Amino acid sequence: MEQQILLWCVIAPAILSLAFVVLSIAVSSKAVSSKISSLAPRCCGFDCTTSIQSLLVTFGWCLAVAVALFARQSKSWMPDHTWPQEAWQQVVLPITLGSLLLALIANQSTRLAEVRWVVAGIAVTLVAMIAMPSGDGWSDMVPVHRFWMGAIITSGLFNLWLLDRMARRGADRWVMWVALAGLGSPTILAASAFAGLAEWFVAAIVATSVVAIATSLQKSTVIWCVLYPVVLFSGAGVAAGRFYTYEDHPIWLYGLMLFAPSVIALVDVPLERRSTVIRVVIALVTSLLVLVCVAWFVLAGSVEEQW
Amino acid sequence: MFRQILTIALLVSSTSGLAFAGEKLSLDQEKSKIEFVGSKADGKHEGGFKTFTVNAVADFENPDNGSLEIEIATDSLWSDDEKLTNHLKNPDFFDVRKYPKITFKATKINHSDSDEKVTMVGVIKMLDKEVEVTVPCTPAISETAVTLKADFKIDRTKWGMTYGEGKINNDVEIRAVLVLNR
Repeated sequence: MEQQILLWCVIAPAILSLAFVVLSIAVSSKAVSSKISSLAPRCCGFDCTTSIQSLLVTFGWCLAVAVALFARQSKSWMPDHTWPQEAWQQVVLPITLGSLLLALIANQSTRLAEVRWVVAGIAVTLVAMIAMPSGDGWSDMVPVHRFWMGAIITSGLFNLWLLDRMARRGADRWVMWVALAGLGSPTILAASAFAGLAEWFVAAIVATSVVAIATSLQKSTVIWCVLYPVVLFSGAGVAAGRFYTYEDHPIWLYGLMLFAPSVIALVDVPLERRSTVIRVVIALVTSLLVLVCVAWFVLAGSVEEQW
Repeated sequence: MFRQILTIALLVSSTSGLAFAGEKLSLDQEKSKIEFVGSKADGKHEGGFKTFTVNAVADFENPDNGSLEIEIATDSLWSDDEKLTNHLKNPDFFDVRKYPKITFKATKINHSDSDEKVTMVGVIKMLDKEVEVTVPCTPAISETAVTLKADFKIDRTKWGMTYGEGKINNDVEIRAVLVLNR
C-alpha cells in the first residue's frame, strides 16, 4: 500500500511535473524559441513561446495530479463509469481547463492578459459549483452549498489576484512557494478527514514543489503561472475537507484555510520595495504561523489513539 | 429435544426468501446489538451500529420457508473513540454518505444434530459489494423470544475496505445478539 502511494503520489507526480518543466525551459532556449517564432510569428504582440512555456508547465502539473487521482481512486469509481463520481475528484476537469486558458494568456504583455480575470472568474465559479457534493447522502449539506460556493469563489479570486500581483512585482521566482504554502492548510484538513483525499494533496504538493524549485533556480521565469491551478486546487480541497470531515471546526478556521495565500500576499504588499531576502523571510514566517494555527486547531484532540 | 427441534426449525426456515404464511418475529431493539472489534498489533477498538432492522419470519411446520434479513443504517455507527467514529464514517472505511446501508441475507443453514450450534450461510452487502459469509450461531428459544448470538470474523478487505492494511488487521470480529420477539 505504502509503495503504491509512494509510486503514484510522489514519484509519478515528481517525474511528470519535472518532465514538463524541463520541456518548458527547453522551449525558452534561443534555438527552439526562434523556430517557434518563425513558424508562428508574433501577431498583435502575442508571444507564442511564452504561451507554450506556460501551457507546458501547467499541463504537466495538471497531468501529475490527474494521474495520481486516476491511479489511486479509479477503483472506487462505479463500474459503468470511466469518470469519477465524487465531487472532490471531478474538480480536476475545471481546474485543468481553466488553468490552461489562464496559462495561455496570463504571461502576455498585451491587453489580452487582462482577459485572464474573466477566465479566472469562470474557472473559479465552475470549480465552486462542481466541488459541491450532491446526491441522497449529501442532502443535509445542501443548505450550506451557497455559502461554500460563495466562499470558494471569493477566496479563489482574491488568492489568484494577490498571488498574480505578487508574481508581477518581483516575486516571480518564489511566488510558487507561497502557492505551495496555500496547499498546506487543505492538506492538513484532508489528512484529518480521509486518506484518499490526503494522498491526492500529497501528489499536488510534490508537483508544486518541483515547479517551485524550478522557478527559484531560473533567473527569470514565466512558469509561475502554475499558481493558477494550485490556487484553484487549494480552494476545492478546503471544500472537500469540509464536506468529508465530521469534526466541528470553527468557521473562521475554514476562512483562514481558504484565504491563506491572500494573507501571505497581503503581508508582502508593504514590503514590495524591500529586498527579496526580507520578503521571503516574512512570507515564510507568515506561512508557518498560518500552518501552525491551522494544524493546531484541526488536529487538536487528535493525538489520542486512532487507527 | 423439543427445544432442539424448534431451534432447527427456526433457523432452517430463516434461510429461504419465499413468501409464505409463517410466524413473523419482531426485533427487540433494546436487547439486540450488532458490534465489531477492530484490532491492530498494539491495541483494539470496539464499535457497532445503533440502528438496524431485522425481517425474520419462521415457519415451524415447513422450516425451509423462512427468511432472515438484517438492514443496518451505517450512519448510526459508534465506537469507543469519537475521532475514530468520525474516521470510520468516511470513505476510508464505511463511507456512510455513499453507502447508507449494510445488509445481510441468510441463504442456507447447516445444523449438526450433535450440538445446538448452527452455521448460517448468508450474503453481506457492504460498500456495494456482496460477499458470502458463514456465520456460526448459538440460538436460544423461549416461549416469548428467539435469541440468536453470533461471534465470527470477517475479512474487511473482501468488501474493498483496505485502509491501513498491514497496520490494522484485516479480520474484524463481529459480535451480534438478535432478540426476536415471537
